Amino acid sequence: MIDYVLYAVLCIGLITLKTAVFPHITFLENCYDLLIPFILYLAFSRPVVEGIVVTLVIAFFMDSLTGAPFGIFISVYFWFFLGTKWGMRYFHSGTTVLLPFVIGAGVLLENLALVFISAVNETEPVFPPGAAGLIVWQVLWATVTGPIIFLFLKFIHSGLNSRIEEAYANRDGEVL
Amino acid sequence: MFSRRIVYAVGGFFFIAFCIILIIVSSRQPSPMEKAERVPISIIAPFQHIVTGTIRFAEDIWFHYFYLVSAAKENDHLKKALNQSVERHNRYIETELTNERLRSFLEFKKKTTSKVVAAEVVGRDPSPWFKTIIIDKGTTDNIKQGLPVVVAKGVAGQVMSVSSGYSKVLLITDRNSAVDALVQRSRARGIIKGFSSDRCFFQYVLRKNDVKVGDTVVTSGLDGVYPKGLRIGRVSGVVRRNSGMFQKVEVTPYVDFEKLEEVMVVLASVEKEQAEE
Repeated sequence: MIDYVLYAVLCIGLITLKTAVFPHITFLENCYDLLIPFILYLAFSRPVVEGIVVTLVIAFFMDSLTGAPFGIFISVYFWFFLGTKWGMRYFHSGTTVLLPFVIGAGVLLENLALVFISAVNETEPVFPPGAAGLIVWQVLWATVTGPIIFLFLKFIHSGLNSRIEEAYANRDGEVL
Repeated sequence: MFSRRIVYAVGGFFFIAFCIILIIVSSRQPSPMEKAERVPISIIAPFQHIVTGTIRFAEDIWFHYFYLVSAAKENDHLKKALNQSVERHNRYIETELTNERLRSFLEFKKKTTSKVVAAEVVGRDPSPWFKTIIIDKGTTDNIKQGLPVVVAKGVAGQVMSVSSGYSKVLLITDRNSAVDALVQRSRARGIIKGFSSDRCFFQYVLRKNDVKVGDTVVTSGLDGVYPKGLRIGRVSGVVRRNSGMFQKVEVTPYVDFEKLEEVMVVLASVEKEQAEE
């Protein structure tokens, strides 16, 4: 239960950061989606069912907040989650070496899907001006800072769990 | 009975089909998911409101008290005065043109008979490819889906979905947005479609129509959403091809969408309300 409370707090925090704080900071205005490292964390460190449930709920929130057609974030996040889970079997990537590349790939996948959807709705499909530059900037930025967010999430979660275990152990000790 | 692999494959197939159907269905306006979208907006928007309020408060302290106290205040005052003058000037031009065309509007009423609700922008679209904002007014303030959203400089957008205290607004620069519009000088008609954060296209303008760089584009009122005569933008480029029915017209909106902080939602006009009653 406490895990889900933590996910809710992190999810609200990351979305608020992206939609209410970053627009006030010029160089972070077009920052990549901060939930990609979060999804990656779920894929790397959490059980499949728990990961899928949390991923779909987060995607539902994002679909509701954006102007994109409903369902695009559900598709992108879900396939990114499954793709990462599947890839872990072959790359044995419990280590952090592959993190920048996987986060970069996730951001790239998301951007391509969104640009494609925004262009394909038009009578005369035209890609947004500066799309390539923005995608490259986001992918590079994600490969550099994404792993930091991932490690931060891991640190928070493991720290919280160990504190809870400690509290339970102390309570059991007092009862005995 | 079935192997795990088959179950996964069938499940995956149905999920792909579900996602594609969902995207296609929700691309239509109004979105059938509008009611479901209210819940996440109601949950996230209060946090956005608090954070945005805190940031604005900190910015206010910095700019108004520590940094050029009097200059910043005077600047704010002059900006407000300038916005009001620009809007007033635009109204004069519209009135003059209307009179020139000898329209006998005996019961002519000012467009300002519409009621407006002021709202604060509390959040922006999480994706840079789509242009929406979240405002701090919802159904409790009589906001409804489809109402026009304006600022002093011109049209901002249209309410897309509403929860009890917050609403999502589709800006005119979004690619899904369309506004029926006129060139103020020549009355050439077309549709303003969003393209990027600082550019729109004025589509379906006949090649024979007179459109020049620098012309002002205003709402026509024919789409049943935006009141007539609201400023949209300035024509920044015209391309007349040798063939084809239409010309390609580029419009730069008057509103700076990157710096949008407060907006006004135009509620149903007084006449419309009376007619509905």
